Amino acid sequence: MNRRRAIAVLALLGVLDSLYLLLPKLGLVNSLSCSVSIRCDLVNESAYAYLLGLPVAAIGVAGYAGLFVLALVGLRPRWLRDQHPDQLLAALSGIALLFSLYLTYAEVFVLHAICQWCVVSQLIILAIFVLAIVGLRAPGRLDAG
Amino acid sequence: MASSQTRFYGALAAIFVAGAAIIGYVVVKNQSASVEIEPVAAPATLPGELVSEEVGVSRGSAEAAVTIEEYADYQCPSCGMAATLTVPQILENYVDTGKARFIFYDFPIPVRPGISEQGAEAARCAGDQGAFWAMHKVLMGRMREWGSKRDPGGMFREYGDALGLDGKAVEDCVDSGKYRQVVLASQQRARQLGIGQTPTFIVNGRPIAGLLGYDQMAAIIDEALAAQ
Repeated sequence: MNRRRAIAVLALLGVLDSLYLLLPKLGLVNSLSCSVSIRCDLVNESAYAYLLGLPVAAIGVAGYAGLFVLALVGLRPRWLRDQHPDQLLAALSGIALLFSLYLTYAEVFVLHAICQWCVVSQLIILAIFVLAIVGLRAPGRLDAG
Repeated sequence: MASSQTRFYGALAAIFVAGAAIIGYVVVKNQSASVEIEPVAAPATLPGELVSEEVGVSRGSAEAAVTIEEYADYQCPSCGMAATLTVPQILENYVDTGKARFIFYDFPIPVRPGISEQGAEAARCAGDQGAFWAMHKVLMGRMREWGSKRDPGGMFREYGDALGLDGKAVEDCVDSGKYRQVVLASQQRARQLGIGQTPTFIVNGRPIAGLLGYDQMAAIIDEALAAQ
C-alpha cells in the first residue's frame, strides 16, 4: 500500500515536471536564464522533443497522469490485495522507461546536452518502474496500513 | 486507516497545489514582450561605441560611479526579455542620466550554434551606422524570427531598412565577418570570468545571474550608487 502511495506521489511529481517542460511548447513561458552547461532549451526544442508530431512533454503529462490514476485505483480497498494494478503499472512504466532511455541516449550522444528537468523525469520513471517490479515480486508484503 | 488515508490524499493535494502555484508563478513572471521596429531618430548621435580593448559595447559616461556589464546571447529567450523589458529602463533612468555606464558583452552559448554569433555581429554592424542599441533591441526581441532562418542575413537587411539604416550594408558587414573575431573575443572574456548563464549582469563587480525585473535591478544599482 505504501508502495502504491509512493508511486502515486512520484507520478504526480512527474505530471508537474512534464507540465513545466510543456510550458514553452504552449508559448506560455521563457526560462529566466539560459545555462551555459545545462541546455534545456536546446533539448526541449530539438527534433527529439517531438514524437509523431506531439511534444514529448505532453506525452509525459498524459503518461504520468495515467500512472497516477492507476496507483490511486490500486489503493482502493477492492484492488489493494490484487496484483493486476502492479502488473499494469510495471508494464506501462517499463514502456515509459524504455522511451526515456532513448531520450537520454539522444541527450548524451546526439545533442550533447543535458536538460535537468528531463533528467528528473527520467529518474522518476525509473523509481516508479522499480517500485512496481518490487510489488510484483513481493505481493505478500502489502500491509493493511 | 481513515486518518492515514485522509492524510495521504491531503498530501497529494498539497503537492499538486504547490506545484501548480510554482508553475503559475513562472507563467505570470514570464509574459514575453514583442518588439515593434521604429526608425531610429538620429542614428549618428547615438552613443554606441566600441570599447576595443574590452570588446564590449559601451553606453554612457566612462566616469560614471557605477558600471553595469551585461553578458547575453542573442538566441537566449531570457536575454530577449532583458533587452526588451529591463535594459531599456536602466539605460533611460541610469545610463542616459549619467549615473551609470552600461557595457554589453556578447556571450554566444550554443543554443543554436552559429546563429547567435551572427546576431551579435549584426548588432555590431548596425553600430557602424550608429544604431547598435536599436538593432540590439530588435534582434533580441525578434530572436525566434531570424533565429529560425538557415541564413538570417536577409532578415538583418530587413531590420536595418526598417530602422532607417542601410540594411544591405548590415547584411554585407555580417557576411564579411568584420566583427566575428570581436564577438569571439567577447565570448572568451565571458568564459574566463566563469559566467555560467545568460543573461548575467555585473554591477560594480557584483555578479547577478539570470534575468531580474527592472525594480530589482534598480534597487541593486541604487545600492551601488549609495556605496560611492
